[in-house]
Amino acid sequence: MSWPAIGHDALVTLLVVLVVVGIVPALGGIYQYLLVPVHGLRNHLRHAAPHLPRVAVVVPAWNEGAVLAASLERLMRLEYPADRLRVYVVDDASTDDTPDVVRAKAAEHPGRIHLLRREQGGQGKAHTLNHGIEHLLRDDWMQALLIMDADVIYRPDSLRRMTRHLADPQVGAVTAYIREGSGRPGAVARFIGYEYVTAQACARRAQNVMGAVACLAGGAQLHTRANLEAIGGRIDTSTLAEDTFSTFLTQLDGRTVVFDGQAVVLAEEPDSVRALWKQRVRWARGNVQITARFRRTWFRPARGHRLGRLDFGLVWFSVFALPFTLVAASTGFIGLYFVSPGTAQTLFGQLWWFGLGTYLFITITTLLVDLDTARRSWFEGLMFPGVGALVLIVASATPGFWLDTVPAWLGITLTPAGVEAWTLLLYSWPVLSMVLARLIRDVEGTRLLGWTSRPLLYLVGYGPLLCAITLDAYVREWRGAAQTWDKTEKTGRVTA
Amino acid sequence: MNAHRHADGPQGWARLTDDDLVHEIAANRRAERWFTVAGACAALLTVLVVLVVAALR
Repeated sequence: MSWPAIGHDALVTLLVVLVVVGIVPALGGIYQYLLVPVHGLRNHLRHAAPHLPRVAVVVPAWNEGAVLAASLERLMRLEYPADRLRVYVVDDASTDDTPDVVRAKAAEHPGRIHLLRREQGGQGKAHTLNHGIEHLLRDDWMQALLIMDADVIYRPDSLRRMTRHLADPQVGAVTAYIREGSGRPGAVARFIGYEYVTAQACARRAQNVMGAVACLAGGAQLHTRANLEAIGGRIDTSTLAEDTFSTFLTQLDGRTVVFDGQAVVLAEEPDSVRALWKQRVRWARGNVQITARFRRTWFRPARGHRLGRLDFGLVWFSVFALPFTLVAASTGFIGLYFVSPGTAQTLFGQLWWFGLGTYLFITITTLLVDLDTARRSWFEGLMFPGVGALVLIVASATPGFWLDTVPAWLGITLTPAGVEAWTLLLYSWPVLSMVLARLIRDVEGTRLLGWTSRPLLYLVGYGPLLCAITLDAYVREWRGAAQTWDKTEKTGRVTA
Repeated sequence: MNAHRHADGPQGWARLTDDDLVHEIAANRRAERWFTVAGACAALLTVLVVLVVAALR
């Protein structure tokens, strides 16, 4: 075999590998979804028992006057012994009426609601939490600490459904299911509602089965006092993902983290792509920092915790590396199109069942797991990968549909150049969708093109939008952009 | 027994005896089994659709 032929074959092999890399995150997703049904038979509820420790609730608040009264009132209505529940609002030097709202509620519920004020604020949530935790650790009243956000609404039974897991001394922390709960959600909020079913109701159940949980939800993390003290008695302030940091420390220290999907907490989520972008860039940058900080944990099985297991690493990096794998898949297909068109066509055609099967299995399971959210967000569930990706799946399953059938309906015939352009469009869609996602953010809110942002969102899909945001976060982290703790604006639209 | 039945304000918990809480845990364990059914249904439907598409290709 000649050297050029060897070089050609090597290049084709490399490009095929790039395509295969592109499907690895889907394998991670399928693996997680296969564990969801297992959770029905194997979960921590068998170790749960009635347990009502003295719980101190810490609510970090910065200019939360609009939403705080409702949250505090809900906390007071929790089905939990009144003498075993105290709420501490840590006011991070708010400039609105937050302190007045808390004082009024404290007067309504004497001894149950307390105001702690930081005069010098703006350092972020972790610093605010630590101010409260430092206060709480001064005496021994607190047996468990619930960290929540000012804008979330706890269902009456949610706290006791979390504390029941603490009857197991092995458990260090418990988290609940944060469900999008806006009264009249717009398109972005409905997408987020569906996303939370996948990322929490499904993924966290799978992680329960794996024995390694990726993150205690920031708005619902219950720690035992022993766990809190063991992880240093404070929340990490060096990363943008303080909740994930605590989750990892808890498990590395040999204690279990449990997700209880029956404990439901409602949250108002952003309803604009711009607000979502700001929030998720912070989250994604936090995950980069976590990945680096715990670099000696990944894929290193160890006694005492399961964070180093192969399956947990696969799941973590499936999400972490998703934008890169999409770029790899596109590069692979486009490269093959020019180097070995037959291979590209064969590979694209042979992956049809994988694309269709992954989409159907994940979508159907997600819709069935939370029927309430499915009623609100079923369309966003179907459109989650975007119209473009669905066109791709159909093109893979029935190559002639877009090239022959649809043109015949329209009374046209595609020229060879048209076929070539269409094929390249399909192969480049994973990357193109991320570019368009950026465009959605840029046009949203503009006078001339603002109206295009919603149709574009459904065309591009919410998944590619998240990938674009993640990629942006990685670039910012790599460039060492300023690390700010931006507050997501909330208006109190949650209805329980 | 449905624990919600007793929830009538801040003192609702007081009538949630250990028995009630145990029953709630048992009810939630039963509710979790729905996810086994959901996963099985999703897998079955997926396989069916993929087979139908494969047959029609």
